[in-house]
Amino acid sequence: MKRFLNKLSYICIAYTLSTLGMILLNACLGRSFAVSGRESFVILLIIISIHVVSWLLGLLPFHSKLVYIVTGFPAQFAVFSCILLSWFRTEGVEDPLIWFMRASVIYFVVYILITLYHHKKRDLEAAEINRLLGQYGHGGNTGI
Amino acid sequence: MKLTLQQGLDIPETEIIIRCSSIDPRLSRLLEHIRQYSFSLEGKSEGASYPIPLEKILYIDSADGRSFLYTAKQIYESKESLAALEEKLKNTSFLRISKNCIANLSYLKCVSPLWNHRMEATLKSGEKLVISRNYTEALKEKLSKEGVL
Repeated sequence: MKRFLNKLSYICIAYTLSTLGMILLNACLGRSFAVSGRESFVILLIIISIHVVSWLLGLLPFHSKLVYIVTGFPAQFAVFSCILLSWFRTEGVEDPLIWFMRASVIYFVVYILITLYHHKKRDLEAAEINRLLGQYGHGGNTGI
Repeated sequence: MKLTLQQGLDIPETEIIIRCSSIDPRLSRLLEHIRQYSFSLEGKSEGASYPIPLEKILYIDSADGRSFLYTAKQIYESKESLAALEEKLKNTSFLRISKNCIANLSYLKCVSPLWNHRMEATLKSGEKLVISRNYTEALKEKLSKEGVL
């Protein structure tokens, strides 16, 4: 329960910082980079969805330290979202929010593929450890 | 390797002397096992203190700033911190596998990957421990360094 609350507090801090980051970005970069309230809401909703889906799939390392969460995914995603949305707008893309949502889906698919690749690497690493363990095990705690 | 055993009632204390030209991985592993039998850790259970032989300890973990020694049958509380125990258990078959756990590799059965970048260690007793990403390399290094006995 304590660990769950810890994780929850990290996530709350991450979302708060992401929101603050977007507000700051809006204030600092002026109208050309600014995102509307509706767009900010969609960005946060996408971050939450990615978190929840990843959590259900067991993909995200929620055990990570506060530093990871703060400097990690939500804040980065929020900043890149703002840049992407404003770029769509300056390029004159019709309905940038729709394109942003499509880009998010692509992002998530790529994210899953990268995770699968890392898992495969970890699988090989585990096989290597098991091989070494097989050798190590011959001594065993009863072998001597 | 030549093994000589001297037994006699006139010997007051058991003493192990190893004579070698150099310490190779096999010998290093043998030393590690001997060290495991050479001392014990103090553990508290139900108010009484007991010396726990290292070879009986499956793993040590910490929770809320307290350290616990896990044997196959019982859990003992140690008055020492996990960092102090880690220092004490250097050059034995114990290795830190996560921020709050030190495992006895002699009891390690196998490892399997988890989705969250960590690994799961299964002990011979069936218990499962988590190996953090940061400690995987140290585990591999230790296992490969010690070699086959």
